[in-house]
Amino acid sequence: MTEKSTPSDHLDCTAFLAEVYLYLDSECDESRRAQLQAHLEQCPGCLQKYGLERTVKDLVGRCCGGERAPESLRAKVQGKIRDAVRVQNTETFATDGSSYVHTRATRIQVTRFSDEQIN
Amino acid sequence: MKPTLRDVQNSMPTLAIERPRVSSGSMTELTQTERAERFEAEAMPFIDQLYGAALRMTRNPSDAEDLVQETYASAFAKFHQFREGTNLRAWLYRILTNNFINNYRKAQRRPQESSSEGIEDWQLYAAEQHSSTGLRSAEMEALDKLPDSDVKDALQELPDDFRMAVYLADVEGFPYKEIAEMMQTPIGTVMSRLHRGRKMLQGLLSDYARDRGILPAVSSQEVVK
Repeated sequence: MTEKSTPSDHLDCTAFLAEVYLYLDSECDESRRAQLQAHLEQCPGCLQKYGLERTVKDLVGRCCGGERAPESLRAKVQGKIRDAVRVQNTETFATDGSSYVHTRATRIQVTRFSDEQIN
Repeated sequence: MKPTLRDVQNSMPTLAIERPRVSSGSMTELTQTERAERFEAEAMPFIDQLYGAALRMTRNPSDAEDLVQETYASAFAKFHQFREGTNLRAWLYRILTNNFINNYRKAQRRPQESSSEGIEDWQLYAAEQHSSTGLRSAEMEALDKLPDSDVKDALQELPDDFRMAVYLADVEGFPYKEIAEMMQTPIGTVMSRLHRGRKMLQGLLSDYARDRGILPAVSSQEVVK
């Protein structure tokens, strides 16, 4: 219905459909978006085609996300980050009655967890 | 008998040896500790999302787990390169996508995808649409009634590159520019992959709807594959 030439600030269907994904994916600037939307509002044919794209995009978004990582995986990854840097503090206090020794030691072991066997 | 001072000192040779090592290396090693803590706090919250992406990419839970572990391993090793204030989520997805492309996709013996993709076929969209009546609104409603598992299965059937582009755009909502960086392709290629992937997906979804009797088995030519 709007396939014929339209006023200069209006798009025809070909121009709209060439950019339907840019509109759908919010990849166009605001002024272009307004032009595309103006076309959509007055063209049932393009609205229907856009509707299908929107439906499928939303369907994929709704059905193909929302997974939860297994607890065992979470624990494994977390464990490996923590094992990568192991800090061990040792404090020793000893006395023979007349003098004493006080020792403090920090042992830090750094391993790359990617080197370890994934299991 | 109480230990003498000498006894105590003699009993600690390892401590005496270890001390200088600690003091000489502690600055970098402590930074490493802080880095690990920061990495855990900031990167772990994305594990569900990354696992979901890995599952869609590899199409099986055991490969997905391996891919997530490898992603965290390389992200941790490269964490010092991550620029504070930039998007950590996008950075992690980039590593995940790279790992998938380099380590998994090659392993799968899938027929080579067409290399003729480019901006041109994306621009054909308008022409294609004019020759197709598209799905009617009743048919769109039918697609909405499909069980989640059908939609997942349909996505799984897409070739890797198309599936990744559709997943990153439609599930994760990444902008084209970021998808292009993740997949290491020009933006035009991302658009082309999205276009082809979505068209294939629409075809598959209407097939599923017909198999389930939600759609009458007549208008199959309407969907451009």
